[in-house]
Amino acid sequence: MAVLRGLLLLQGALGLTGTLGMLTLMGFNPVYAVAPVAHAALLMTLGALLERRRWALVATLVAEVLAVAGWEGQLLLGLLPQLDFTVNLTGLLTTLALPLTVLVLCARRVTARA
Amino acid sequence: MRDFWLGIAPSHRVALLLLVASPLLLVQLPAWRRAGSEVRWCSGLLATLAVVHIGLPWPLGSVLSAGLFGWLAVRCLAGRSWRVQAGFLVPAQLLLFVAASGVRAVAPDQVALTVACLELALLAVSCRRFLARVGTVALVLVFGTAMWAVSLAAHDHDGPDRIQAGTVRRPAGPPPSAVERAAARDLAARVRASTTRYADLAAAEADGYHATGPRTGTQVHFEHKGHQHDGRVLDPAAPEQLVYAVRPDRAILLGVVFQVPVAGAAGPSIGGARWHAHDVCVGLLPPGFGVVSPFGSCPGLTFATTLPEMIHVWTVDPPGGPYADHLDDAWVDALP
Repeated sequence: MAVLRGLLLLQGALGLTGTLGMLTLMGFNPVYAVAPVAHAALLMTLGALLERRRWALVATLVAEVLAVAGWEGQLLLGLLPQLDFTVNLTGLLTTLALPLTVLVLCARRVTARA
Repeated sequence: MRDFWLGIAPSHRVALLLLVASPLLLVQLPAWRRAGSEVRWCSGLLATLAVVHIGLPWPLGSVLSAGLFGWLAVRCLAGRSWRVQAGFLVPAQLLLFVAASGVRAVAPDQVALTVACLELALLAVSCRRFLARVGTVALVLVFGTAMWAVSLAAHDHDGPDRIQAGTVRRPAGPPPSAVERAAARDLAARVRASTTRYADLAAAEADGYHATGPRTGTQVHFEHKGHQHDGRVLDPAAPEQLVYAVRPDRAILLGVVFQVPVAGAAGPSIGGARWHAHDVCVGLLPPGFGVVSPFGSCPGLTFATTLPEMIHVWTVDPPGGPYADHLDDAWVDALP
């Protein structure tokens, strides 16, 4: 559980860093921080609750499935002529390998508890 | 995938190879296989960092840093204390990375940033106290911001930007010939002549240009959707974007942006000038965009995409000439 909590903490922190990039380009309008900060806070809260609450485990599973689906969606969007998708090592690690790892660890926990 | 190898410095290929090989080496160790899940994760990360640091050139990697991570991996496997030591070692390594990148002693690239991500993952997984977690989040934010600053500072230099945090640029090609340089000068002159009608921002807006973000600022981009899809490239009469300094009292036309119609396609050669593409995070709640972080990630509930290649042609004689990569805000502010 400590590993899962740590990985969710990292995922939330990476999301917060991305929020800075959003705020900078949108003239530091705080409205643009609401959804990303809420998402990061959700991940960190789920990480803290994983040990005690089974629903937190399921909610984390759902969040990570959406994250992986989002990565695949980005890849598909990149097939449009007007858009491209830059695949790099850090992106693969933080936006694909990290959610997949959390997903697998959560799935193992859920099946172990069932 | 065409930009994947562009992000990896040739001097870091050995480290990348070691990064891929280290899990295969780890599973050969019976002591590691017997350990509990948390110890396997932490010692695995420490051992991977030790192996990768052997392959990284000084000052990113050294026998000392490899030895220290290896020593902590052994302590972790043996059930001895290692968290406090890692709590000092990881921030020190990240500080060294930022400092060496800042003075251009190293080429910050995707391999070095991946190692930094693994170091941050180690810290995140190892912290047990609330304050340690807060410190880890703060370190991620500070390191990410510092690498953004390094990426921006390196914007005008000839090497490719391997951090790929908002901008993807190819290395400069061979030096342009006299004919190519003359063609580039001619294009800049034609752009200047054909955009005099847009000296007044109202005329540009009446012609269909709209601000891509906030409408005031030092370098506000106004795009023309129709010109982006007309299939024409480098047409001085129909630039895809106009760039203005928009002040409360008036707007000054700074230059134009030409964009290729298809994302992923390389822009035509213009006398040694370099095209670039932006990788951005697009949000829908509310609609807006940001730059991809040095960790290759976007904020939650947004998606990453890379726009078609573009190039600025300035009409205001900036330092660096009409094809300078960007304008210094202070220089723009000083314009009459």
